[in-house]
Amino acid sequence: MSECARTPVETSRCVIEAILRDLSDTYTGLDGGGIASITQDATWKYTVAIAREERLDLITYTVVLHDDGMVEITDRAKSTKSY
Amino acid sequence: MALTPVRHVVHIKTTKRYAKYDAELDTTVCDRYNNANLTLTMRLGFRQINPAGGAASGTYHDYGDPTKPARTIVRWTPGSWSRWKTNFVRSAQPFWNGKFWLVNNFPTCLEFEDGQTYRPNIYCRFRLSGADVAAGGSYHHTIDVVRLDPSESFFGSHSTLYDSNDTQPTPKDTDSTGAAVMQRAHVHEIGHLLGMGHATQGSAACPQGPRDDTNADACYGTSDHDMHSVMGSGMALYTVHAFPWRWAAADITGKGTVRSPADNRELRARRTRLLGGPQPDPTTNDWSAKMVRHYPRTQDEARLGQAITRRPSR
Repeated sequence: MSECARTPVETSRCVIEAILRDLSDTYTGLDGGGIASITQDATWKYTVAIAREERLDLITYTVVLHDDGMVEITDRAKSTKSY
Repeated sequence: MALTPVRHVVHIKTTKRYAKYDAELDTTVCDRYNNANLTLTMRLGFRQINPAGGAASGTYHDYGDPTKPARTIVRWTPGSWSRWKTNFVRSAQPFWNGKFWLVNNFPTCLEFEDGQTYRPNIYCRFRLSGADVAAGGSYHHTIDVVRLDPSESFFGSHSTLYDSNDTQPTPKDTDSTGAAVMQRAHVHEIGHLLGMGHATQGSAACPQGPRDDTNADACYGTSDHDMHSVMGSGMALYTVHAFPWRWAAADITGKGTVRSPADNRELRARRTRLLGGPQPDPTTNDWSAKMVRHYPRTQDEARLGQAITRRPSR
């Protein structure tokens, strides 16, 4: 059993670390208040909310945890919550 | 030579009151060198948001939404409040004031006699006032304002909730050259209060239907041009930003058709979908905006479509 599958919290940690690495590589916004929340919407679906002026950028990740402990991001969808 | 209006034009000031601002068209200033003035006046009522219970320091949530992160705020003092309001008005008003001229393409409209018949254009002015709601009065828009603690670098603002740092330049995006795109948020918000949407609103990248979110990243611009727009992430003014004056000019004079930039983009996108292939920009030329002074024209100059951009000998 991989370390990432050892406990639910370890699984979450692995998934969130993979998401954060992807976010560092792909998110281009410069301003704002950073990550306001990371929520688990479904077992393998997480949403990162980033505070910006007038809005929250929402990036929803769908992931798969492979047997070897590798987290694969299978989908990244961006949306916005306006204020 | 004395100014003698032609018989179908009376030189007057005409004021109309709209929900977002008032508009005054002043033709009394017209002569062979000076155009009519169209002044949009916006009265903002500012309202302090202070820490609860009269404390010197407290917290307030981004966007005023208690489920969102809390930022540390401090109590406004009379001095800081007065300075902030003054700075807001003194920096936002000149940004929008006196930047556009609208070309009068309507024979007889606003024309006057000054030796011969001239057709004036319209000079676009902007007057902004910011007062304390607590003092009473009537306002086009009421804005709540938090004073951020110096330790805070961000607060989630929106069009009616500002923070004390919103007048400061902030990097918002990066253009194709790698340069930061800077913006002072309050001039962008004034654009919204004047009735303008985001830089690409109405385009295929940023649809504006009832289910669409016009605050999505793409709405702030993906090209450098749109990104640098004041209604994108930057501070650049383009002629499309004359829309509120063009709209008021058409309404007050009863001449011409003016659509918002977003409606124009949407119309073009719709025509493209229906007809296939790129369609021409449906923008009308009525009261077309320029960013250099266009002097009043004689009837002959107007008929020939000449633009008088250097002071003529009259």
